[in-house]
Amino acid sequence: MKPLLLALPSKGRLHEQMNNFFSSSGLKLARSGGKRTYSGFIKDIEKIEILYLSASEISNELLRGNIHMGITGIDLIEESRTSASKELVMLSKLGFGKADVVVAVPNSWIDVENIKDLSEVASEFRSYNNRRMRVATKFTNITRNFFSKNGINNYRLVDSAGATEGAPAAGSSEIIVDITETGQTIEANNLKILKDGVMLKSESCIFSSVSKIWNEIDLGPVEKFLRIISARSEALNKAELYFDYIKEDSDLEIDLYRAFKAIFVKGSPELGESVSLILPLSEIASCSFHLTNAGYGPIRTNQPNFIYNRDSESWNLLKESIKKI
Amino acid sequence: MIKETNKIIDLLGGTGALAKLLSVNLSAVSNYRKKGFPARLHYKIASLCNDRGITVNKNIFGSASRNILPMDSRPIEVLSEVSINVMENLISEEFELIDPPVLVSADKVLDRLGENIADRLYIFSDPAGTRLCLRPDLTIPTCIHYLNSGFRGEKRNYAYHGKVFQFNSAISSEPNEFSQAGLESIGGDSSLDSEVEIFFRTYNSLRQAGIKKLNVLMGDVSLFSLLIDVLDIPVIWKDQLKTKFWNDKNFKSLLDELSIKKKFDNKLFYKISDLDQETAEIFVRDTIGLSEKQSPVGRSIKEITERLMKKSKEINTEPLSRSTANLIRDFLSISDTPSKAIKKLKSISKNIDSKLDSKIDIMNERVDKMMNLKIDLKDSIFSLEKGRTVEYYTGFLFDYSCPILGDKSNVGGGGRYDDLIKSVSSNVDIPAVGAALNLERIEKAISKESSS
Repeated sequence: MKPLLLALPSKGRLHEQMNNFFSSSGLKLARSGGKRTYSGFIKDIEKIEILYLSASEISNELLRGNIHMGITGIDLIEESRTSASKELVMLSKLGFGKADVVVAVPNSWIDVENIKDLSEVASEFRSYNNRRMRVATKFTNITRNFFSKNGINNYRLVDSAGATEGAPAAGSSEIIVDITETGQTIEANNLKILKDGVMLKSESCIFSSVSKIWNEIDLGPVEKFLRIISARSEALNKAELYFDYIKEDSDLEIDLYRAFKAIFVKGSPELGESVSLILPLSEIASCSFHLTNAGYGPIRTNQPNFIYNRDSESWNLLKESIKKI
Repeated sequence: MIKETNKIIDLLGGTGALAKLLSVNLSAVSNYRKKGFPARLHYKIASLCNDRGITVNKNIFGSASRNILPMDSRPIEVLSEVSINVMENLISEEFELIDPPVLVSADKVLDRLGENIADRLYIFSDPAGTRLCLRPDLTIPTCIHYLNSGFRGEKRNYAYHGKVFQFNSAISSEPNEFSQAGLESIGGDSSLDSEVEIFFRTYNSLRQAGIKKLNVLMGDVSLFSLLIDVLDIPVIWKDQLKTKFWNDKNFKSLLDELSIKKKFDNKLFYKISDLDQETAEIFVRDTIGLSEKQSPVGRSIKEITERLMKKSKEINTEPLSRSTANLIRDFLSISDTPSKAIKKLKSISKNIDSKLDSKIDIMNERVDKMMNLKIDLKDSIFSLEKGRTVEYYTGFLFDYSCPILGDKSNVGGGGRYDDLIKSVSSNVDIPAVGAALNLERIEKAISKESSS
């Protein structure tokens, strides 16, 4: 039996967010040797060897099938993916590192509001200027795929290593494709994100590669690790809601599921019982209003630390993908 | 020169031996002794000498073939029998054999081919930081050769062969490097004759090399853009239809979209509709919030204003009529033998515009010229759709395929690209027409044909 290789981000914000996530999951990371080494392990979970790599290197190693699992952003995976890449499975979103890859044009382009406008302008630009419109970005793959899907072909990519959002003002490109959490940096540089200009919604995830290296791996510790990780990430995005069930309403269960994706923890309630629902964090307010309007109350909410489902989706995904190898 | 020729004939074993090597009769070789080698044999003779380690004074080959490979100090390439046959029929006095650069500027290639092909290119930086690319074809390097030789419009005919590099993914069995041989005719007037000549020479060399079953598919993308030009529809639609022409899915949805009354979200399209150009430019300037000395980022006030005005005209236009949309669809669906296709074209487009009629007459003339050269067009197809998937050609185009090869049956093709030189570097319009053949595929086709 060989140890499983799990790659984690070695530096920057992603590293910090990942550390917080692990410690809030009760998983203790330790480095082998000293603090400065780039390998380690998880206390109390055997046979998982941790490699600390940069997030983009993790994407590359996953796509080459050289490591079993890794934590990195969807943006970096999509950017590194080529026709020669190995298959990957996204086991679980982790709830941090959320950002959008967007296309933005100068504010002064008052005739351009959406991708369709941009497509028209791109071809007009070529006939006006006898060259292609330049797009500054470090996301060359994502941009090419998105533009080709949207029928934009009159453009050229300009590599941007540093501050992409400054390229139009500096005259090195006309428009940009960049990653942003809030859009503030883009706005501050007199650029606007097109209405349908979100090309990719990114987030940190745990991925596994579908490759022969999974032969000879003891899956016991992996299951334990994945169940903890997904129970924690599920809990980060969900909340629990309590109220007293005081009147007969046979449609309540189905209504709340349809409107808010809310699920009764123990099936249909009985009169007089205190019941609990689990639902997405973002639906808590609307669901509570809905219930108070229907005469229920007080509604109490609570955010759990972990939600262990009977079936762990990420574990099932991994099992299925290993079967295919 | 004759002395040198005789020396070579003797070194190659004498009249009889050479006649055998070249599969010609004895009298032909004695003729060479008097008049020198004919141009079509230069290539083969050079290779024969090279194989046998015979050093040759390259002057005997005349200027056209002077830089044939074995004579120079550059590495010796090994060409197969089939490749030599193909080359022999491409090279002539009129087509100068050149050796274009292998490394080309990545920016030039991308500017020409577009970003969609970027993931098939070998792009890298040299130690000086210049972004370079291994040539993905020989057409762009040939144009660079033309410009580097100082020509700006003069007519030059080139022949070439060499390796080209295209990444075909790790999964596909297609090779990432393969050999092309081809011709380019750059400059001069964009005449029908050079199109027919390029077609004839490449077609002929495939036949002479021994390919038995050869399918020809032809088209002419300039017909579509002329049709759009003469239709009575708003300019902005014309631009859109021409841009989306290169992608069938986008084109179909554009046609559907134009056929219904559109709604526009951008209020500026409405606000600008009654203004003249000058007032509109002031309005645009004010809306952006620019002083007279400032200009917008990336595009000019004029560019932005003109587009807004075009859009405002689009608002007040009735949707594309069903008959016009159907005309465009019918036009593009024409696919038949060249003479039948021309008949269909004539009947669909009569009474639209005389410019279209004369364009169709030119096409007819082209086909006649091919027939006069005894090119058998019975099994060829002329399709108005041909050339739509790659935004590359500007007029006549063709490709050759060998059905015996199955899926990957294309063995070559070419056509007219009058905007090529312009996009590579120079700002002058220089017409160009050319074609390239895939030597490995030709070889494969011939060996499959002979074994089946």
